[in-house]
Amino acid sequence: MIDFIVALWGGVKNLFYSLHPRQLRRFAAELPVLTPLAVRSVRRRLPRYLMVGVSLGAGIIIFLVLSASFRGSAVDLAGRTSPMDLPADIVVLDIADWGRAAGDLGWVGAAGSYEVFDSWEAPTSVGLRRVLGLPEGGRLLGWLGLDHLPPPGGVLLAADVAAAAGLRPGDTVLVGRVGRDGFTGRGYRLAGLHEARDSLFRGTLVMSLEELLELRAALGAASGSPAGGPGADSPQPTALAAWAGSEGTLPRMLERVKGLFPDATIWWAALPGDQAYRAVGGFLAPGRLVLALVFVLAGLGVFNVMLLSLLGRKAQLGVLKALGSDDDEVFLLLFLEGGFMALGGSALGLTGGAFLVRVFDRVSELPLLLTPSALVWAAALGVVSFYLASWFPATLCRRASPIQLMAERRLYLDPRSTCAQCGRCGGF
Amino acid sequence: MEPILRAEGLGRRFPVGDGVWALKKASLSVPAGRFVLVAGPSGCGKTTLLNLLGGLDRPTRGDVELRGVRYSTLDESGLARLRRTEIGFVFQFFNLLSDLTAEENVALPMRMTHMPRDEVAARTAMLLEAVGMSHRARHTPYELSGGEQQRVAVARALANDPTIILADEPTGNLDSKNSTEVMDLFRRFNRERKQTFVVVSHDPAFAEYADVVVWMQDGEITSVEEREGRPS
Ligand SMILES: Nc1ncnc2c1ncn2[C@@H]1O[C@H](COP(=O)(O)OP(=O)(O)OP(=O)(O)O)[C@@H](O)[C@H]1O
Ligand SMILES: [Mg+2]
Repeated sequence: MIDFIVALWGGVKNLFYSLHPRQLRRFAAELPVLTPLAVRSVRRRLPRYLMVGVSLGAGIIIFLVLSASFRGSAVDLAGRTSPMDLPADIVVLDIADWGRAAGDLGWVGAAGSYEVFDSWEAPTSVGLRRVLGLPEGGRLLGWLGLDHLPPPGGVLLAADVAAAAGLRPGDTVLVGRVGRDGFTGRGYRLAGLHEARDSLFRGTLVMSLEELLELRAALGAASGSPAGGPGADSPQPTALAAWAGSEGTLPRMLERVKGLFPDATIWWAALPGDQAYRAVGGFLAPGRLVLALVFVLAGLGVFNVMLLSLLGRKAQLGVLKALGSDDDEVFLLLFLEGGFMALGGSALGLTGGAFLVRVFDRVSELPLLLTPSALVWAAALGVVSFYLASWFPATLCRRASPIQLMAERRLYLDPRSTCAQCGRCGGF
Repeated sequence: MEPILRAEGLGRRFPVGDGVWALKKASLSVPAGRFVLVAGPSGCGKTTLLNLLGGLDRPTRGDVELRGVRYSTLDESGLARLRRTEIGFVFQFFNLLSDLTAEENVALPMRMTHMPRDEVAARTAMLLEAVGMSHRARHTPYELSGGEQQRVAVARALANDPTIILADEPTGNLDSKNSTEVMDLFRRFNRERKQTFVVVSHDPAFAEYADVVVWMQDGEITSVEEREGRPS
């Protein structure tokens, strides 16, 4: 048993050793000799190799179609959730890598998670309003139906509010706070109107993020708190929605936000879009298991064919060794044979999968979303499953002596030590 | 004459049951250009000896030396390189790679030593011509008779101009007409090119023109018979 583990470990080491640059250079030198042999061998066993290539390809297709439909439904579901007001002081959102495309903007905007912005409930000359600070160039502007922020000293007001208040562009809007000393505020020129397409931003007053922060600092400083940062007395931000690129960055972002606003209630992961995403994510977990199984099955197919192909011609491989092919070259030969079918299968799977996703996307109710990362994953999993599946048969053969092969004896992972004597596994 | 192949106290034990000594202790010297026949009853260890001489198997004790290179100093790939360049093999069965044509089988050992392509092609044609198989160059082993396959195998064994050719019952699977043809080939290459041979065979016809006959019994060499004045 220990021998077996040692032999297996040696094989695993070899698996990595075969990727060593020196070894790869050696392999490259032998390719001109071995490739024709491998090609010939594959051609002689074409139906068998084709079937494995096709099943690997089918595995990749299933993987792509399933992952595209999972992704598609997740985005779709998130997009269908109804918008809501930002409920906490600070909302930190973390959405994975999807939703960045222009088409996904709708649900992202509705969830208020598009990018960093600041929102503050403030008394203004047109009533209690939510004041939004947006960064210049932010894509949220487009979602508000705007193509730029007002010039310095200016604000934008929702068209309905402006109409009700009888304000016109050019008039002054006061924004401030009611404190112990009464109203403290600043006047802004109404630079324009906006039509928010979502209740979240309906009736809001929009200015640049810098101006909003400056205003808050100024009002905070006026009531005696240290300038710059939001002190105990300063108006806390009512909402700060932030976008993090990936799940990995969320904890860091939370940390930063907590440091910036120590007293604020920080809320995350509970917005409808995010919840929907998480719900679909829960569905994704078993889905991923199914996808992994698909690859295990495809890998077993490669494994079987490679093993059969080896066992069916032990004598031939023995002659090859007798003629002076060394162990590594025979190993490489078997690997090449497997490589051809893996290459063919992957090409078939990737093109077929991408094509089917497009077709299904057209004809089915649910949208399918094929991300580049899914393609990369499919290709990587194809390569890995092939590599692992070819490794075992190729290693058996690498380690067998020419005599052992020519006499069609059983092969053991470790032919030299007691592994062969134990023989409990029966050999191959 | 200095021997090119030398075996000293060669023994091979197989770990079956309490251990079987297939070859107990064999010492042998083969001078260049000789035709050595190894004979003896079935199971006496002839194949085992030949495998050890050819570096296909490792001895339990003793060592083999070919042109001054001790096998015990070589690792597996060193031994493989030695087989590739210095030794030609002809076996009873499974000689040719069935995926390849006769031509490709003969060319393979040369391709393995990275010989330039045109040189390989020229030499392959020459060798196939020499064994009288030019007309079957593009045929696969399945399309050749046993005798024809064996002739191609002889051509392949000669491919890299080896120091020595080892043959284990090369005619064991052939009828008498084909046996004679293959044997004639061996004889010709031995006489005309001074190619060294060590052949294991039951066939008494080989004994007629062997320079040396090594008799074996029960895993031991019982006598080495030098034949002077053999018919040429
Ligand atoms: N791998 C092995 N494991 C166990 N015993 C073996 C093995 N190979 C050979 N033997 C034994 O070693 C002895 C010599 O075998 P070998 O094949 O060398 O005989 P041989 O002289 O070539 O016989 P034949 O003329 O029938 O070919 C035999 O008794 C055989 O059973
Ligand atoms: Mg024998």
